[in-house]
Amino acid sequence: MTIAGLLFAFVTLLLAGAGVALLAQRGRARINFLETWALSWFFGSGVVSFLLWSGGAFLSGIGLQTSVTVVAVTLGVFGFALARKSGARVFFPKPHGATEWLLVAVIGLELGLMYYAALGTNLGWDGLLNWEAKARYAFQNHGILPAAYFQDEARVFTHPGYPLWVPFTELWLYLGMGAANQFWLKFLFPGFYAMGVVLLVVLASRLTERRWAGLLVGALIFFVPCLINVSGGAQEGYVDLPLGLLYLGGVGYLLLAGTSGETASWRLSALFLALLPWAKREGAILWLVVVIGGVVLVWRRRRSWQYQLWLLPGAGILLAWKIFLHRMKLTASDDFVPVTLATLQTNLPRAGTIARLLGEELIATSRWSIFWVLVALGFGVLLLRARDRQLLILASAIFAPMAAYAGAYFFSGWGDWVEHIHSSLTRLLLQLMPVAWLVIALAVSPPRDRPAEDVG
Amino acid sequence: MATPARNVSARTLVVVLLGLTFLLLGKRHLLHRAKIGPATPFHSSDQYLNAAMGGRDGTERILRALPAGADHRSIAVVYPQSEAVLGFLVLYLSWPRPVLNIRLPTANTPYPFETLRSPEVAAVFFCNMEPPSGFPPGVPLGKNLIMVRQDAGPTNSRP
Repeated sequence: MTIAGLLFAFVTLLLAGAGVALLAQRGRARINFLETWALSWFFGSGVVSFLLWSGGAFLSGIGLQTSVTVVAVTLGVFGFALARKSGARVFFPKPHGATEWLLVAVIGLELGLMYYAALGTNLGWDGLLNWEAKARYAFQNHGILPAAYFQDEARVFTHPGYPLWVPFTELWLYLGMGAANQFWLKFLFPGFYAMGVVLLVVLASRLTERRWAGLLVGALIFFVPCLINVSGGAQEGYVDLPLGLLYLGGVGYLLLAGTSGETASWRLSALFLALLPWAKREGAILWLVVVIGGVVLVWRRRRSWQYQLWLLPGAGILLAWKIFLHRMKLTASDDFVPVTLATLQTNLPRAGTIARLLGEELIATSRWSIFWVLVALGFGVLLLRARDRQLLILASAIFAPMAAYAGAYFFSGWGDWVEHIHSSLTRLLLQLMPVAWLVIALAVSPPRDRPAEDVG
Repeated sequence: MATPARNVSARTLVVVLLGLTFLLLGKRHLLHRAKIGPATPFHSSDQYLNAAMGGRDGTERILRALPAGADHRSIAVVYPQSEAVLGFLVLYLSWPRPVLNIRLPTANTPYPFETLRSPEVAAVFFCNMEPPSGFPPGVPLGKNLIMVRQDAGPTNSRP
């Protein structure tokens, strides 16, 4: 019964996501099955979690669960009907040649290992107390987080102000299973990794016009040690990697929209952007970075201003969540002090330590191998090759949030603010890691003047 | 002068060397050992609690010890900073009851414990601390956790 319920929850989630993914891809003559599957995962979790939260204002219990199921199935049916009507051809991308088959086999093995690691380890500390706790409390309260939770000073350690993308996706699984179960929940997290790898392969293949380059980075990402060996790793139920994968989608499709001018890529980028502030507070910073890139792109390509309307859903979600927290009279966390010029001046002597610790983190081989060195070399190669808009967007997408995250430590409210850096910096950089793989993919692939492949 | 073919092979060589370095330094986490299961509802909280309290089924032990659902009075959880893991887990499991989260710098830090001897407080959990004088003897739930249950007073019930 538990497993049947879990399957039901995953199927409805994927149906909702498929509906959104197919709607966003309308106009495409060919629809990549694997890409749509990955998009369905991310958009489905976004739709279901958002519906549970917003629907919770009017409904609870079985009424809420039924309504979300009906909307999810309707979205899926509508998306499939539209794709069928448009005559789009769905295809399954098959590898060509021994190299591509080998890379696909390696990726398959890695996904198996990730599931093994996830099912064989605990939910991490934040995975349990920040994220699963919200799902459990809402499950025990008929699908709704009560106002008392947001005002409870004694439970501030569970960060009630964090958004609900992952917790309410977990809640959807709990509602499906009819029980809160920390073990079966763990199927969710390697799912994010697996779908993220598919997304990375698709985006890197299209941007480089070489499928082997996409498959190569899809296989290599597994070897970034902190993906598994730190608190916050992919298997522990933290949100940092899934957030990074949303960011990859937002930036990657924006780059594709910039190079191909394809409207579907623009829509997909905007949908990923909308989910960023719904995933974690840092998502608002990432959202802002990509929005600026999107506005510049619309302006430079002289596209209609109406394209910018697609940037609004993210702003809407951000605003709705802020209003909700205000209405709930959220007890503020003391992790950060208010951002004022006076505080910045007082804490300016921290600059040297922050810069040193950031530098040390970037070259910490136990957590990153030589990943950030490769990214730096990749930027060097791309800089020599062409100083174009793509490079500017990629550089902003990595360095702007990195600077913002480092700058946030000037306002750390921890007594031991150095400990604050030690406990969070790796996870913050993990959010930027997936998108940085695009730099490596572009750097290792031949320049664009060579004939392109059909990468699907 | 280097020919284009030589440039390509030099570039390939550098990429392969960098890739191998990345793999060699990154492979250590592949040795990650894991044991799948058990597929229990409290899979993760049990692992933390069993390590902190000793024994098995730590979550169930705490849940069973918590006052019955009809008793809506507060729970107090007292823990030194060094026992934050245990303290947080008791707080996590005590939802939806109102809780008093009392984190002390050390187990010997003075605290007005007499304020917890209130009829509004149904039970006090002491994490790696002995209940102070004035409290009835507690029930050990594990090697580091003692619960002191307090009887309801005449004005303790909440709507």
